[in-house]
Amino acid sequence: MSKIIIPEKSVFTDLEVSNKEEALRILADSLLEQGFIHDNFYKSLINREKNFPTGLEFHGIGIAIPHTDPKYIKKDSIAVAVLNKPVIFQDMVDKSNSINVKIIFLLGLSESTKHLNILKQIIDLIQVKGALEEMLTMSKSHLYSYLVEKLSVE
Amino acid sequence: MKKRIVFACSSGIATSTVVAEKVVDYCKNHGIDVEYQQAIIGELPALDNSADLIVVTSQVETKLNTPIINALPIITGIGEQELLDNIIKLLKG
Repeated sequence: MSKIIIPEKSVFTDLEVSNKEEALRILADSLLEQGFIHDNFYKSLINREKNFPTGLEFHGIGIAIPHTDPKYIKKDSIAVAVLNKPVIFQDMVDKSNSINVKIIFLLGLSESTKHLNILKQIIDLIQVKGALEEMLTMSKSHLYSYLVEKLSVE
Repeated sequence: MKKRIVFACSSGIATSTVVAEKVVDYCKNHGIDVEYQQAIIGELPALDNSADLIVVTSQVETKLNTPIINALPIITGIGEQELLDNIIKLLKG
């Protein structure tokens, strides 16, 4: 059975970007370079975000869980970015509502890891009071080991 | 009691998986055996009339015969309990 990888190179902290497209480009490119996704992943991701936005707010902190069609995935992975300044994503619950997102969990998931229900693990993790706040202050290496420890990933 | 549910989201594997696991488990604890499948939103018109309930995690504009419930409260955690109870009520008729 497949496992999900959080590539250390795809964990970013204090990332400075002007908008969500830029943030997603950086995250997608890092996965593309390392062979986790296909070329058209980014385009599909942006398109999907327009129709089915993935912004959410937990305990007052904006996060996003962008993901798209499993067919663009070579190997299951997750890329994470804590942003220097928030960028806007539309709300998954109400697409007319804007969320100031500070942490992005880009999910490069295919059918083969559905059984791990990684999104549930991420949601359980971020619903813990203080967890997101803590993540905002972590160093890159600390955030990386924190995520590897808390989620069923490699 | 046996029921059929279709869980749908935009990708067919992310939020629908989170919701399916929770709902199927909750139903089991309330005496309802659920047989389910996951789908993408676009497949819903073709799946109409094939299940007792459709559970989605995005806004669905299409009008279908099968009752549709939006399960985003399971993702956000807000109103989750009420939603789960509503699903049981709906299935038990």
